Amino acid sequence: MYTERTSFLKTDYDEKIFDWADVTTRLGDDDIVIRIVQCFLVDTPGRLEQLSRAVHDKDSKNIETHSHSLKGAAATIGASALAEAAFALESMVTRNDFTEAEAALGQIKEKFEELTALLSRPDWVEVVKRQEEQENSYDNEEPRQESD
Amino acid sequence: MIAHCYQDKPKHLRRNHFLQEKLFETFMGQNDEKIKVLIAEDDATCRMALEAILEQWGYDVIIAEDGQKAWQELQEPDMPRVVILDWVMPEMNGLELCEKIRSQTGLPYIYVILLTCRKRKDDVIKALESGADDYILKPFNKEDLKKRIDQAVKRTFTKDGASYRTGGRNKEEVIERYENEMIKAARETALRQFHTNRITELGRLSAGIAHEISNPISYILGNAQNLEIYWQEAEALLLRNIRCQDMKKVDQIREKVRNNLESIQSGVERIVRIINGLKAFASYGKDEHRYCHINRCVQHSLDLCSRTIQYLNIETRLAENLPLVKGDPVQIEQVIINLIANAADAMEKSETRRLTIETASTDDSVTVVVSDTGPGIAEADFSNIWKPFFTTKAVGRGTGLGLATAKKIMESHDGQIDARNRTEGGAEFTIKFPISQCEVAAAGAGIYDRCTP
Repeated sequence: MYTERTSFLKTDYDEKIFDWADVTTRLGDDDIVIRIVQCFLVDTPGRLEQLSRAVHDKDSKNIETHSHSLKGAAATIGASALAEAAFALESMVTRNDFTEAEAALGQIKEKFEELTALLSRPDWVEVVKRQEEQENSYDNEEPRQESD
Repeated sequence: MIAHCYQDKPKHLRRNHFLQEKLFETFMGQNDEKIKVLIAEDDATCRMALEAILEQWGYDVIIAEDGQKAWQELQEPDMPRVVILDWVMPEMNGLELCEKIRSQTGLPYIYVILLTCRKRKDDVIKALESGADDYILKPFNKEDLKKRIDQAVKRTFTKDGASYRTGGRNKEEVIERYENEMIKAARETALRQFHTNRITELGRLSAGIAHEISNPISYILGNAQNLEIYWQEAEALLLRNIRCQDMKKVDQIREKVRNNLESIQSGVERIVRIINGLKAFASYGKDEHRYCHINRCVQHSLDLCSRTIQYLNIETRLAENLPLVKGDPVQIEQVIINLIANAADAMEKSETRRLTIETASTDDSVTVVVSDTGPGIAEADFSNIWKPFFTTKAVGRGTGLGLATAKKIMESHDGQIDARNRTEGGAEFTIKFPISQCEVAAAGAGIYDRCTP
C-alpha cells in the first residue's frame, strides 16, 4: 500500500525473494509449483558453478547463456529477486561491460542463498503462504485503524 | 456424443471433427495415441514446469535438453508435430533449429512455438521471421500456454490448418500470413495512436485535476502535522499517568500511531510529487520567455535539489561567458532538476556516485550535460525513455513523467534533449539551446544582462 512499508519477503525494491501468489496464479497448481521448486533447487547449484567459472574466465557467451537460463528458471518459479539479479548480469554482459560482473555474480549468489534458506525448510509452503497472508492483512488493516 | 456425430457426417466434413474427437477420445481414455508435443529447453526447471502442465492436459510430452537432440527427435518416423523451442540453448539455439525445420522439405508441417523472454520484444519479430508460428513469453502462465497449444493443435490437426499440413508453403498461405501480420501491425499502430491521443487529453485534464486536488491535499497535510503535535502532547500526558500493566499496550499503540502518521505524510508527499509532475507536464510552453543565464539555472537547480543530492559527489564545470538563452528559467530549471533526480535515482545502487554537470557553448548553441556513474540506459529502453509513464524505477518510485516533461519543455524552447551511455559507464543527458547570432553579439555586449533577474 505504501512503498515505504517494505515487508518481510521483500528486498531493496519490490522484488520478492519468492512470490508464491505470482507463481501459483501463473501455473495454477500447488503441486506443480512444489515439484518445480525442488527441481530448481537441485539444478541451480550446478548452473551457478558454471556461471562462476564463466565470470572468472570472462567468457561472455557462457555468462550470457547461463545468466539468461537462470533468469528464466528463477522467473518461472517466482523467485523475482534472483531473476532480477540474473538479468542485471546478463544485461551487463550484453553491453560488454565486465567491470561489475563479479559484484553482480555476488548478488546472484546472495539471492540464491536467501532463496535456498527459505525453500529448503520442510515447512516452506506454509511459511510463504503465511507470510503472504500476513502481508495482505497488513495492507488491509491500516485503513481501518486510521478511521477509528 | 461427438463420436456419434462424426459417424453421420459425410466424409469431406469429418476432418473438422478430428480435433474434438481426438481430444474426446484422449479424455475418455479410449485412445492410446495422445498428441505428441516436443519440448526443447535446456533449463530443467522451465522444462519440468512445461512438461507437468502439458501432461496434465493429456499430451504425450517428449523432452530434449538441447537443439541437437530436438532435431534428432524430429527425424523419427512418428515425430511430434507441435514443438516448443527455447530460444537460448546449447548446441543449436531455438532460432537456428526453427530455420532448420523450415528448410527441410518432404515432411508434414511442424508447428513451432518459440519460448522467449519478456524483456526483449524485438526477439518476437526475429522469431516470426525465422519461420516460427507462434511464441510464448517467459515466465509463461498456464492460460496463455493453453491458448497457444490449442491453437497449435487446431492448426496442425484440423482442416483450418490444411495449408500448414501440406508441408510446402503455397502462395495463398504466405499471403494470408502476411495479411494477418499487417492487420496485427495496423492494430498496434492504431492502439499507439489511441494512446497518444489519450495522453494529450490527459495533459488537458491533468491541469484541472491537479488544481482541484492541491486544495484538499493541503488540509490533509496540515491536519496530519497538527495531529502529530497534538499527539506528542497526548503522549506526554499519557506517559505521566500510565499504570504499569498498561505499559506494553500503550507502547504498541504509540508505535502504531507513529507509523500511521508517517504513512499519511509519505502518502501525501507522493501525491504532491505526482501532481507537480502532472502540472509540469500539462503546462509546458505557456509562460513567457526571457533571456536567462544557464549557469544560474544550473546553480539554482542544484540548490533546489540539495536533499536529493546530499549523498552524491557533485562536480560542476561551468563555462564562463556563456551566451544567454531565450526561455523560461523556471522551466529550464525543471528540466535540469528532472535530469539530476533521474541521475540520483540511477545511482542509488552504485558504488561511486558522481554527478557531473557541465555547461558549454558553440557558435550557435548552449549545452548542459548531466552525466552519472549509474548503470546506464538499457539498449531496449532507449526508444521508450521519452514516453510519458515509462519508468524503470520500482513501482511507486517514479512517475514516469520526468523525461517526458523535459522533452516537451525542450521542444517548446526549440531545443534538443539527447541521451546516451558513456563508454566509461553511466548515462549522459545533453540539453541544447539554440542561440541566434544577434543574441550572441548582444549578450557579449552585456545588453541583456539587465533582463535577467
